[in-house]
Amino acid sequence: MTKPRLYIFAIGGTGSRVLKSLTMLLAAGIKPEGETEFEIIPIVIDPHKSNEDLKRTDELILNYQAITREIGFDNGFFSTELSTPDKILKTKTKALGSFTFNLQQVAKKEFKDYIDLANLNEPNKALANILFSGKSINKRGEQIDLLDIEMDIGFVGNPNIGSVVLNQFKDSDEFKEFASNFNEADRIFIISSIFGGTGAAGFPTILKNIRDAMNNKNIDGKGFLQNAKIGAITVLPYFNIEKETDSPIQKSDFIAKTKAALSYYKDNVTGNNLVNALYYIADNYTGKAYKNDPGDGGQKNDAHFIELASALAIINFLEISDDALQTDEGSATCPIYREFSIKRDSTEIKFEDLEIGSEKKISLKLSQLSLFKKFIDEHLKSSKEKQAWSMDAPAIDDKFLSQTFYKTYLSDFLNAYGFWLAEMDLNRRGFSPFALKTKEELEVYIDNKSEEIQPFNPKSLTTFIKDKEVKQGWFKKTVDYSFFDDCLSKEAKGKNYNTAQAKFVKLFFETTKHILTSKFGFQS
Amino acid sequence: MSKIFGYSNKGGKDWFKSDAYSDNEIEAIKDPEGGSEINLPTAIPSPFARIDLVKNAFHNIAKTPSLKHHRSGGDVIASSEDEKLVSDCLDLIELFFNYDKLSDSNKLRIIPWNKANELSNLKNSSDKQRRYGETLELYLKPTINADDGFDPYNFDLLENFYLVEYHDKIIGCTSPVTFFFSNSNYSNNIRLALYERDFNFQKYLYYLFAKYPILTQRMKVFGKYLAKNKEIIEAKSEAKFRNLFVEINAIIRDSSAFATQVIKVSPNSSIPCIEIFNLKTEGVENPCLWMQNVEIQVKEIKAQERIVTGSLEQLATASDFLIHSNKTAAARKPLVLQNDLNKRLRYLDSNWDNNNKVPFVFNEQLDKRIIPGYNLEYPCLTVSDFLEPYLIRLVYPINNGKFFNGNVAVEIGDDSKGYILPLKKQFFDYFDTYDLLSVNTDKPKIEMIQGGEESVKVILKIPVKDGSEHISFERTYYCPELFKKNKNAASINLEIPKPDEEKNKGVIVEHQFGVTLFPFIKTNIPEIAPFYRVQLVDRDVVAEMKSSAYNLSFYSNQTIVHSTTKERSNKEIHSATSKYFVVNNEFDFIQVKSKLASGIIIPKWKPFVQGNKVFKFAIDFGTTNTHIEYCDNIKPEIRPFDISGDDEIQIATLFDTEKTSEDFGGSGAIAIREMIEEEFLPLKIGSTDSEYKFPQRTVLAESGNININAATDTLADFNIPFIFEKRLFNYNNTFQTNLKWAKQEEGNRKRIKSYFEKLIFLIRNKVLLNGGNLSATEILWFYPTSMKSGRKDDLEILWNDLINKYFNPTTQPRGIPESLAPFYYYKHHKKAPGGNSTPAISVDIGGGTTDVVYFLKNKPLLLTSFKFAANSIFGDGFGLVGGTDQGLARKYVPHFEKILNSSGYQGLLKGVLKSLKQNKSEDVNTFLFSLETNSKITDKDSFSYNLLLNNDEDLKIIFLYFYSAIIYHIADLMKNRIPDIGLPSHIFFSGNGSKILRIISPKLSKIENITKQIIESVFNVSYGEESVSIVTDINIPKETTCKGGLLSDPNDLEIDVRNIKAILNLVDEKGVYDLTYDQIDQNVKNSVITKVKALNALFVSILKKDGIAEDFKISSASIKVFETQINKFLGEYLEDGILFNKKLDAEQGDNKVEETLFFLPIIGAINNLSNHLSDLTPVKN
Repeated sequence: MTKPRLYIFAIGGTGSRVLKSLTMLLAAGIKPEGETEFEIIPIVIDPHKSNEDLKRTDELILNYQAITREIGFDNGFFSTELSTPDKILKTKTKALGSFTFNLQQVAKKEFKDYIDLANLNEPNKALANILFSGKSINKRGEQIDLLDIEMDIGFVGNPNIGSVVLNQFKDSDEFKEFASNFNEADRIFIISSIFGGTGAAGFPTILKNIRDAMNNKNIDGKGFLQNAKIGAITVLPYFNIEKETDSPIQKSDFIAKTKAALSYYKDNVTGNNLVNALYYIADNYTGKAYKNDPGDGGQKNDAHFIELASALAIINFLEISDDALQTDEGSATCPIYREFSIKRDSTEIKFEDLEIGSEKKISLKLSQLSLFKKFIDEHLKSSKEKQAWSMDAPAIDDKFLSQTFYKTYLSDFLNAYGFWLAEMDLNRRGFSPFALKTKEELEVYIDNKSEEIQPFNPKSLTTFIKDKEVKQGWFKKTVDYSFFDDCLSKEAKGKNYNTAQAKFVKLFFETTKHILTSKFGFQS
Repeated sequence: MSKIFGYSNKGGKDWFKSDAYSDNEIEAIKDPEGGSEINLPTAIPSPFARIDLVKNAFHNIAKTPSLKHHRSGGDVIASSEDEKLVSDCLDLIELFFNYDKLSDSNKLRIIPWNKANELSNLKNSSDKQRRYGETLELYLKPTINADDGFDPYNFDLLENFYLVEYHDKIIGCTSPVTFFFSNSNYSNNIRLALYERDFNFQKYLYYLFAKYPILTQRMKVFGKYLAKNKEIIEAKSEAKFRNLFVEINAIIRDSSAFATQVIKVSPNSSIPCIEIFNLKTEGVENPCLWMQNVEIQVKEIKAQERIVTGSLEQLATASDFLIHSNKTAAARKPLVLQNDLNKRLRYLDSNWDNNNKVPFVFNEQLDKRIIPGYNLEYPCLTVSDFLEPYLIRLVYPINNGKFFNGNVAVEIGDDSKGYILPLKKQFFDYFDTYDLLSVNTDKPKIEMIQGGEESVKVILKIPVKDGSEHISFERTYYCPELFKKNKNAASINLEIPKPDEEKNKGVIVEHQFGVTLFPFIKTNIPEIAPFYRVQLVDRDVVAEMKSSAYNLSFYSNQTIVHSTTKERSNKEIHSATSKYFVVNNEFDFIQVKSKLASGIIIPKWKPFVQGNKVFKFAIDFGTTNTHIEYCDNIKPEIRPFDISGDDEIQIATLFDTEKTSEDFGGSGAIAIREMIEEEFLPLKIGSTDSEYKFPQRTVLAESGNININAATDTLADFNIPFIFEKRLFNYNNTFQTNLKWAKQEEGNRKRIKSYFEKLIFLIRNKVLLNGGNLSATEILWFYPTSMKSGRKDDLEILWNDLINKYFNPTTQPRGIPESLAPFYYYKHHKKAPGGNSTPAISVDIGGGTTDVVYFLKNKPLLLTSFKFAANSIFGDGFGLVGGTDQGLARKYVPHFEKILNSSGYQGLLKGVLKSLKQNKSEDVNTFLFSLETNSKITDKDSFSYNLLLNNDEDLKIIFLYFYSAIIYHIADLMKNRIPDIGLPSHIFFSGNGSKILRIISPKLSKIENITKQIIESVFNVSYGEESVSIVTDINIPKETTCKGGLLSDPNDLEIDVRNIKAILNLVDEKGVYDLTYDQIDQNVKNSVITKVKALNALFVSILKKDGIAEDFKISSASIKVFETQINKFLGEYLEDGILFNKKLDAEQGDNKVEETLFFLPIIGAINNLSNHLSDLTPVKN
């Protein structure tokens, strides 16, 4: 039997960033508890083609896929199947391996042309004139009529425009194929931020279209869709934006917009039970300001703990049993609403600051992946072709290290992981469970994105996880890289690995787990 | 503490179970910035966002106390945008309610949008239209709310939208949830809550809700709004509202009650109505708005009323009562009406009949008023439209030369009180201030007659019939017991009675406040940017006014003028409140508002003509004193800055300065006068009848609770207190004296800027008032050459910025080294024969620095500067604030305290002295010196600190030593750097510090003698037959800098002072010229100490020569003290001095030392010496 699927609609910049965090968690081997395994199919919806967050996430998932194509899903790390939407496309009209749904007829186009205002009949023209009356600001900071706004920027401040433009999604091949392939056991999760433009508009649009699929003549097999199990997270403001008077994104608008949109959701999303499980997340912490960029110049925001927590909401959603997600005629029978908490209100969150459930879910696995990365950065060069684990077949030798699998897919992925950790560490509120380099060094590191540098403080292996002490004793071996090498060799001994690739990943998964549970006091 | 990333108050761990966010959670979200009331972009993700927006606006507004925008606890409950959306919606409903009365109903058109038809049209059209249509369809699809089972927008009941086009613009559209929503571009700036609207219209809405219960169910937010509106009506005390409340309740009980009451309720059933929503399917009658015939509306309406309305317009435009005003549009000019008219004037279709009763107040909007005698609506004006219910009486007569006094006439009583014009703002919708001041008969006139029982009758005549007739608005204002002049004690606590506008009874309130304008200039020339400061002093402490605050708004005849306000003193703490309004636009009148009353102040601006006179100013910003001299091309004589002529007074006080009694008519509101001089600026400066003049102490006053980091304004947050050293600060002010050498930081930079800005204001206004040309004005300023270039650059930027801003001069302002200017003054006055063939030296001793320039052939050859000046004797050395610890002050302060009489002005000065004792000792000493020049001290000799010191045989040695040290250094530098030009023949002294020469000896020849001896000794050469002569203008030593600056030839000053600047740092022998702080090692220090000891030895040897001690009246005891003390601790003083200078300019180790180290030990030694010498002999009285 094929695995059920989780379709994730990641809308806007926040969607991309939460998706990135989810990918990191999956790479570390974090999975929902329960018997059902899901195949995850993310679809990113973002009008900003040049959005940096989007590009970074896209690359990351492509590397994840490339890795799993070579090694499969039972090596500990990378053990969940992430697929591109093209997998479900019958007509391969789109370039392979893209996660992004591109909006049509958006760039450099005014909204009034998009709705063909000039050719509408009198009643429709009059209605459009009043529905979209008002002013906005164009890219040059000049005031213009809302109807004259260019649509790619129109989303940013005007979700009412966004709701019209994003509705083309329902005509897209992606949506049609998704809808036609949707099975009863499949689930949907929608990620959006409430205070942006794209997310706030995209969420109700997609939701309405899914529940309204009965009326969409382009779709077959839509019966399941109307009653689909839909989860969603709506991300409320959690960061500052640098104040810039002329930008269409205004921080002072954030709260007012959030409240207005929440009121709308109250009637049109929650009040009528459209979602089965809705996750709210917000942080009123006033910390580091993001550079204010409405998207055109590449919205690129540093990774943030809230995105990690949001990714955990997706894991949480998959852990809810089918029984609790029943829907009747497009209306959830007993909708679930959730909020997130941590144990200690810390500005630099460490593992112990999390509530026990979250800590158990992520601390060991993230530490394993980190240790893997740390070893590669600091010690792999000295071990390779010297240590038994490296020389035993299949060998982890210079040849292996020069092949694409290691050199491109894995290294790129782990480098991105390093940046992800560093960014969350630097951000405020920060997530900083590991001993990384100094703030100044990290800032340089993030700015340059140079491959030569790694995020961890190279000083000592024993102190690399904050709040975790290595148990030392008279007769216990010191935890250092020679100990690490010994453990690797011991683990590798007598094992059969199909390929060097699988060996490399699996060996490190098992060994790091062993070291962390035996020496750092982690519970397995 | 656990942290919940959300807004519900539920607790839990990880992703715990919570609830959907409802209103409570949404309201719990706090905006850290307090929220915004501005227009936000639509945040609703639906094409029907505007419907939701208006619905939400009703929801928000219904939560406010008065159905207006509202903040509570820093949060916006309802924004002004909400208020507008609701008001727009009500406008639209009211438009239909009054449809049959619309004069331009042919401009109204209804465009129906049928859901089924139009969606189908769109979907069967182009791809773009199809997509758009499908989106509309998706969002129009009803959803069912789990709580009440209804669609949140009643889209389930929607069949049609009706779009409202008025004057070719779509202004609104029906909404199934709030009747209507408006176009965002619909602009009606008058926002009215329902209770402010027509009573019949209000009743109509309650009637609709009563008749159709479905509305209460489906239009919940609107229902809540109506409920709130009813609460507000219930709380109102006026009879008309009480009636309304009763009527509304009757309608709610039985909706049919309304049908009989109101004229135009029943729709003609044969004509279709606008459906807000359609309930036909449920068998309920659908609510309609009484809009006639959608298809053929215009033609079929009641022809009868249209004829009446049409002819009314025609009759009114021909009426004799039509207001004669150029400011209103020609269409529908209002009629001006009064009772008891004794003129034959044509009303509408006949002459006016006094049986028509004109109400004294209309509660309706202008064009909703029912004109007397006719049951028709037409704009008309009555007395309450223009006259205020309260008349503000002042505790002084108005300064009629500068402000319009309202043509006040005293029939009974005296003229000790003035009155603010009791005009409403609306008056100026029709007339300008000039109209009121004009003598032409076709203009409005106001008269105020003070009559019996202190009442005032105000008559406002409004021109009608093309200006050939007037209608009189009259109102008598009665004076309550509380304000009567001869009130008895018991009436003090009486309440102020309320005026009754309906009966035309006004009430006088006496207010104690003052308004002062600066400057009293209105140029009407757009190129001359105006900069006004307006001071408002409020010491109103009578009865309920104690807690009241005043405010001023500024208006031009066309529009309101922006102003910002700063409060400096507050009457809760300082017995009076002072507020400052910064107004950067010209204005014609001011509206003053208190808690109770409101009125208009009109300045009588003088006609302004721009002149062509060219003025030149020189500003010497000194450590202790600041001076300004000026001249102009008509009168080239150089003279100190002054405001002396009556027509160049820069401020205008609302009170009459001549007629107002000392105690403000017994009210004791003297703060109104005092605060002008303390916090603002005096009437006159430098005139014979003013106690203020330049040079003026360099001091800045600022609010005691100033936030120096916030934006500050000159003459609002700061001012130059001319009263310094003359009066005490009575209000919320502190002062800063050390401006020139203050630590370099943002706060001090602002202070200096503000100090300069006020000087620039004074100069600018003087130029404008005296027919000067702003951009032709030339301004010079001075700086000492010992000033670090960073500090000097700061000053230069400040001067340039300010002068460019306020003068936009064609000649750029010039900075001149302080030391160069005096020479040209002496030269010009032929007091300087030297400097041509023989070397001459100019020495400018200021408070902080001494500048020395060596001249040969009238050109500066060499220049040096050091911080060894008057404050080295009168200040605290390198120590902290010394107050009266410093020797001289300690000796003489008790003496002055004794001779200053405790009463009258001297008592005041005694208080000033006491207050200064907390301050720096140089401030104390400067004050003591100021006494003999104080214009109010008649016995100059007794209060001459100069004379006292001149006669003090113990202290005299300090001054002589100070002088000798300077001469010694001057000679030493000359010998080292320009040894070949011969001995100096002339030494010119200038600067305030050169007054020390007078203390040393009244006879210059004696000083010349000792000078010669020192120079000869340094050079080891004899003058022979020649000698050295000392030149000084002892009466105006400070002024010579400014005067010299104005007299100097710019070409003479075209030298780069850096090229001739010399520092004798006493290590020349070793080849180090540019000494850095790092290079000051023990060798350097030793050479400095050796040099000082050489001076000391020379000085003692000269003192011991025959006759010298007697010549200068130096006591032998002091010589003894000198000998034992003078060489002590020189090393430590040197260290202290180096440290002090380093800190002052935040010097780094590798920075160049900018002045000689020679004087540093001497400053310490003098300070020490004066401490010892002060105790020798007590002061003789």
